[in-house]
This record gives sequence, C-alpha cells and structure tokens, in this order.
Amino acid sequence: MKKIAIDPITRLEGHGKILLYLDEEGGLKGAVLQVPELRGFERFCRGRRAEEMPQITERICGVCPEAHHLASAKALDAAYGAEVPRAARLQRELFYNTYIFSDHLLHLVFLGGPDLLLPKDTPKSERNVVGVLQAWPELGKEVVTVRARAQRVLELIGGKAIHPVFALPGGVAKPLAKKDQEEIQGHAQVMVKLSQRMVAFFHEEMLPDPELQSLLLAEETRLPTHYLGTVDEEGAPNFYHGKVRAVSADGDELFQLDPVGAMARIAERAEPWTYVKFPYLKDIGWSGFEGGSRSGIYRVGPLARLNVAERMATPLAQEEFERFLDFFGERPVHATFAYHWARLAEMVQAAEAAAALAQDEGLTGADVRGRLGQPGEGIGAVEAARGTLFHHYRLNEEGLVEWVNLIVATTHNAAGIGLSVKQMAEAVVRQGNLDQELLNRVEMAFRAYDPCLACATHFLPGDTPLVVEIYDADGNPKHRIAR
Amino acid sequence: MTEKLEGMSPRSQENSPRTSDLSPVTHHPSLKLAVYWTGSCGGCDVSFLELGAALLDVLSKVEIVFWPALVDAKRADVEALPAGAIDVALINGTLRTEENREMAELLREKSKLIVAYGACAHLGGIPGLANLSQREEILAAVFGDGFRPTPPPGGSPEDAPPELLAAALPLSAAVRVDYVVPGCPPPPGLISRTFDALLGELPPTGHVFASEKALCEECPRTKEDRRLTKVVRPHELLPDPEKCLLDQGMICLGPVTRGGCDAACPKAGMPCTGCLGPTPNAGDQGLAMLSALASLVRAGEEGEAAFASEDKVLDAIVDPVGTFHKYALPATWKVPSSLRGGGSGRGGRP
Ligand code: SF4
Ligand code: SF4
Repeated sequence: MKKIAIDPITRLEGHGKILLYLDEEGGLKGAVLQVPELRGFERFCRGRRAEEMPQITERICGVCPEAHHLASAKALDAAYGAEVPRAARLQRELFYNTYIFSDHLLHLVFLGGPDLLLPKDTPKSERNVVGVLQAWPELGKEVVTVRARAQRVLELIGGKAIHPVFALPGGVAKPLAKKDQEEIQGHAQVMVKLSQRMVAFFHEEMLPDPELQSLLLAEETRLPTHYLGTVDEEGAPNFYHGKVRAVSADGDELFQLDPVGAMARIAERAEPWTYVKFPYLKDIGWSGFEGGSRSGIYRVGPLARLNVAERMATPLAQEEFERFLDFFGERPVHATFAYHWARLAEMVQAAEAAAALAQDEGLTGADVRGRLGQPGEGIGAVEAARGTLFHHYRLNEEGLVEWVNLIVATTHNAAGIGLSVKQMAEAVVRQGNLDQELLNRVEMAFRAYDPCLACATHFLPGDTPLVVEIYDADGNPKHRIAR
Repeated sequence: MTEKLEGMSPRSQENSPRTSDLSPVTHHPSLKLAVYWTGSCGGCDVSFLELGAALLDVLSKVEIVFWPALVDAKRADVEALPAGAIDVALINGTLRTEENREMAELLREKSKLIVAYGACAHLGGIPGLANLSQREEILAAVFGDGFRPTPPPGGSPEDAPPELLAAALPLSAAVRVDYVVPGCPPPPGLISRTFDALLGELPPTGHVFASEKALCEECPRTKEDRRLTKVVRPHELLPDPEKCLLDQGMICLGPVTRGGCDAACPKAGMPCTGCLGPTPNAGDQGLAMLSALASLVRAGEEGEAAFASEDKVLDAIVDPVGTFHKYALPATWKVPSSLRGGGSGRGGRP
C-alpha cells in the first residue's frame, strides 16, 4: 500500500495533516484528516475565576477570539442572571459584526483566496497571500488597509484587537467615548465600501471563471446535509443573538429554539472503537458517516446560515443573497464551495450592520453593567464566523468555574469536512498522477469550510472526542479524523 | 449590481510586477523567514496582520520559506534545507506534543536565529495552566480514561497522533532561543520593532523586544493612594476612568509586568494580567506581585495590625495561581524531570 502525506495541511487555522492510503492499483483505500494537537482547556478552565473565562477561552483560537469572548460573556450573563444594558449590548454587537467582517475578509483573501484568485497551476511557492498581492496589487493593498481599520474598531471597543478584554458578566468594562464612536463611524463606512467592491470583483473577475463554476457545481463537491444557524425574528442571519434554527437536507424546518433548547437537540455519538463523541441531530439519529436526509449529520457556518435564513438583514447583503440563490437554483444549497460565496454575502451584511450600529446614539451610554445575581449555571451562544458556538458553564458560589462544556463551530462541521475531503480525494485519485496541483485540491475541500482546527481540537463537545472513522459500504474503515 | 471597480487591476495584469507600494525604494537583501506554530491559538500568527499597510513593506523584504498559516511549504521542504538556510524562525505556541518539540528542533537546526514569539513560546502561556494537572488527568478530562494515540486503520505506527509531553513547556526548554517577542499576542508596536531589528541591526542575544520598565510607567491612570484596603474583581466594580486600578482594589499586574503594549488593558478599564511577562528584575512575576500587594496592604500600619489586615485583604483573592501566573506557570514552576516526556528538554528561561 502506498501512503501520501500532506503534512502539515496549510492555509488554515491550527494543525492538521492529511494521509491518503492507496492500493496497488492506485485506488483510494482511505483518507485521513488528522489533528495532532491538544492543549487541554477542558481541564484547566476548572478553578478559574468566572470573569476571566472570556479572556481564557479566547486563547482556544486567536483567529476567532471575539466569538469565544462573547459566547463566554453570554454564558456568564446567564449564569449570573444578568440583564445586559442597552449600551453594553450595542458595544458588543458592533464589535461582533466588525469581527465577522474582518474574519471573513481574512479567509477570502489570505487563506482560501489564493486557491480561487490565482490560476490553478500556480506553483506551490506562489500560491499564497504574497502571490495574491502580486497578482492583484490594488485590491490587495485595499484589503490590507481596510482590515486594519476593522481591527482598529475591535481595539477601540475591545481594548485589544486580538484577545480583547472588554466583555464581563452582565455587560462590558467601560462606556464608549464619543470621539471613539465618531472614529468608528468612519471605519465602518469604509468597510461597507470594500464589501461592495469585493462583491463586484467576485462577479466580474471570479465567477465567470469556468474553473470556479465547476468547483461550485461539480457533483463531487456537493454534499447534502442538514443545516444549523441563528436567525433573528425576521428569519435573517444574526451573528450575535436570536433563535437557533435547523433545516433539513430537503429544506424543511426541523426546529427553531433558543440556544438552551437547541443545545438539547444535539447529541454526541460515541463509537466503541474510539473515544469520540460526535455531534448530530438527536431527533434524526445516527446512521454512520454519510450525508443525506436520513443521516443526523448537519453543517454550520456561512453556507448553513444562508440555508436556514429566509432573507438577509441588510439591503446590499440581500441583493447578493438573491444572486446566490439564482445561481444555484436549489434550496438548501448543498454545494460545498458555495461556502466561499456565502461568506462574501455575510461579510456584506456584517459591514452594513456595523455601519448602522455605529450610528446609534445609545452606543456611548454610561450604563454598561447589568445587576448580577448569585453565580449559577448558564449557556451562551453566538454565530462564530465558522458556525454556531455554544459555551456552557457551571459556577460555584465564589464565582469560580466548576465545570465547562463547549460545542465549537468546526466541531459541528467535522463530519462534513471529513466527507468533503474524502469526496475530493476520490475524485482526485480517479484522475491519477497525484501531483502538487491535484493534492492542493484535496486541501481546497477543507479550506472551503475555513476550518479552525485549534478550536475543534482544543475543545470538542463535552468531555470528548478524538477519532472519527468513516467506513465504506462494506464496513471497512475508510476515513478517520483523529486528534 | 454594485459599484464599479475603478482602480482595481484587471485580470490581464495578473502576475504583473509589484507596484512601488510593494517594493521598497531601497532594495534590502531578502531575509529568509520561517514562522511556525506549536501548541498555539493562531493569534500570534494573525498578529502580523496587525501591522496593516506596513505588513506589505515587510512582505516585500522577506522571503517566506515556511509558514503553514499562509504559505504551502510542507515539513519535507524544511527537512530538505541545509543547516542554517533560514535566517530567522519566529516560533509561537507552547510546547505540548512530541511533534512540537521535533519541529522546534528541526527549525533550530535549519535557522541562524530563533525567536520565541508570544507569551506561549516565551513563558508557556495560558495553555501552561494545564501544568496544574498531570498529563493523564488532562487526557482523561478530554477523552475519558485510558486514551492512547493510535494510527488510522491501515496506517503504520508513525501515523498515530503525537504523544503529549508530560507538561507544557516554553520554547527555551527544548532549544536555544536567541530573542523574545513577548505578549499574548505581541502588540503591533513590538512587532515592527522586531522586524526593524531583524532587517537592520541585531541586538545582543537574549534581547527581549519590549520595554525594560514596568507597565505602570506607560499607564495614563493617576496613582495616589498607594494603599490597598480591599480587593475587588473586575465585574464587581465599574472603575473610575482616571484613577489607578490598584488604588481602586483591582489586582493589576502593571507593577511587575514589562511595558510595551501602551497599557492596553488598563486603558480599556481592565487590569493587566501580565501577558508581556516579568520586568527584567521582577524574577517570578507572581511572587513579585504578591509581595507588592503585601506592602500596599501593610502601608500605614504596623506590627500585628499590619499582618492582620494583610491576611484579611489577601484572603479575598480567589484562584491565586490563575491570577498571578496566568501566562507564566511553565517558566516559573520548573517541571520535575520525572514528569517530562521524552526527556531531551534542557529547561530554564531565556
Ligand atoms: S501567546 Fe497568546 S496569542 Fe500567541 S499563541 Fe499563545 S495564546 Fe495565542
Ligand atoms: S496590559 Fe498587561 S495583559 Fe494587557 S496587553 Fe498589556 S501586558 Fe498584556
């Protein structure tokens, strides 16, 4: 048997390697995405001060610290029974939409972008952000400078752009100054402008490319699953709060619940041959590692949010959403590479939402701390860039952490990512001659999800998992994700 | 459709030469750079982007040999390089697995300079809090009892995920470290300072790219009382925006922590938790802070009364280890060699 190792897999967040096992004839026997990393947050969060949790859990991931920071704060709001005052809530929401904008932009240009923005035969040494900056200097420069403005907004509200410090149980650290609000307004407008340009760029320069069209429409990149994401009262995606909605692979609503109720609908699969507990929809049940409407496997993140939504929350994003639906002509959209396009539409919504929030008079209100009750138990959820993120804590009477459980975006997607990697590996192996370009296509399959393996590995659900094994039709192990 | 694309380059200019914005006027010999993450969160990797437009300038002066977050070079490409082929490797993250240590050793061999980048590589960082537990307890908490890394079906033994080290370790426990860029993650100002030095004149070995003075020196809050009569936690008090946080009863590690972040946390209304590490003469950051607190409590009192109030006030501090050694546990508490996995670690701080 022949083994091909892609080590490390690159242009993602966190550690991973892909192992492909081929038989004598060169057929694919197994495809493994392995995550060789563990830091043990599950253990060392216990005993820490509750108010430190937004700062400690954000170190699970430095690409989406904002998501952990606020999911944590919301779990603490609930654990202390606190009502967050409007000014504090506005600060958090503005901060959060800015983060979604910034994180999606990072992926579109720096991580996933090189696969889509450069010709597919680009040599390995140039298939990266530097290559993008050379091929598209003006766009590249603008992206870098606008992202810096977004990071500045995060810093003005959060204290630090990476690993912010501002969220506390029941509110935020301090009121926002008037002059900071004015500065933020300027940045937010530029964010909207850039989003519009990115949309135009996508439609004029990228979408007409037959290569991208085939990625979007090819059968081997289509994966029917259920979808989960948070929506507001009007059914538009909301990153900070709302109801968690699940839609089946056939497009029917499965449930729409608050985070506490939704978390109860998710079960974790433990396999006897492994220590893994794997999230799936409890009511549908587990039928092995496969997609389709009878399997409990679901996906989260940009594509899932657009699939559970009725509409977008802002006008320009709505326009893009409509073009997206027209292109695919089906709902839900099951095309894995549609994640990139959905990310773009969400980036537009996040920028528009941030610009609107930045105008709110209440943003500089002095009342930023809600009244705290006795510490207890609480669940908080946000939509991280990569999908729904749940934090669940139990605190003791001193306000120290006794027990923690998180379900992290990339974890929900782990089965989907594994299936997509396998689909692509099969397609690539069929073409024979595994050169760099073909192997990169296997990596492109996981990059569509913008996975954050640091998140997935440092905290899988509950006291959880490690190994995911995918069997072929004959019941032979075919695919395994281990950490 | 939305607005037109004025100013953006058309596809026909693909792979056109860099514009003047990308290539500096004076051409600097290219620096061969590697950036690698061990047990990290990725925040150090993205921190480079905080340079904003200055990043473009840096990118035009370096050749990225290896950087998994951004470029596609693989481990085998690094292994194929001759010794010393990389000018400088910036390594972030705590050492947590055998593979982390192998990679640190590989990069040490291939690089002229090694920089411990960020609190994890510098001091062990927040993942270093795991050293409060035994490795087996961590594995049990995460996976259940009896976990053993095993290879995938059909895979050979070397395909198993790497073993955890017995404890989280700072980079200097495995390889010789030439410089340190502290912070969680390093603040943009310190990153530019580091690149200025790497592309220009190198400081003496062992240099830490941060202030030699305490954070308090760069904090705009006014210090008056210099006395501590109570301890409050950040969520219990909306602090006065002008006054020193310690004066208001919050445990702020400013007195024992290096400056260099422009007092980011105190300015945001939150106490410093010490991510830039100890000042050059603080030694053990946590112990130094405890003794600073003790003298603040005793200030103005004498004898028995001083000790009594010290007990009373300091007893109010919950989770002292997490409070005083949030980032520096592995560098402060040397892990006994009996607890270390594999055993080639050399120990000690840079
Ligand atoms: S030092 Fe901080 S930012 Fe850097 S890897 Fe460690 S936790 Fe992340
Ligand atoms: S104030 Fe302290 S914890 Fe905050 S960034 Fe500066 S050194 Fe780090």
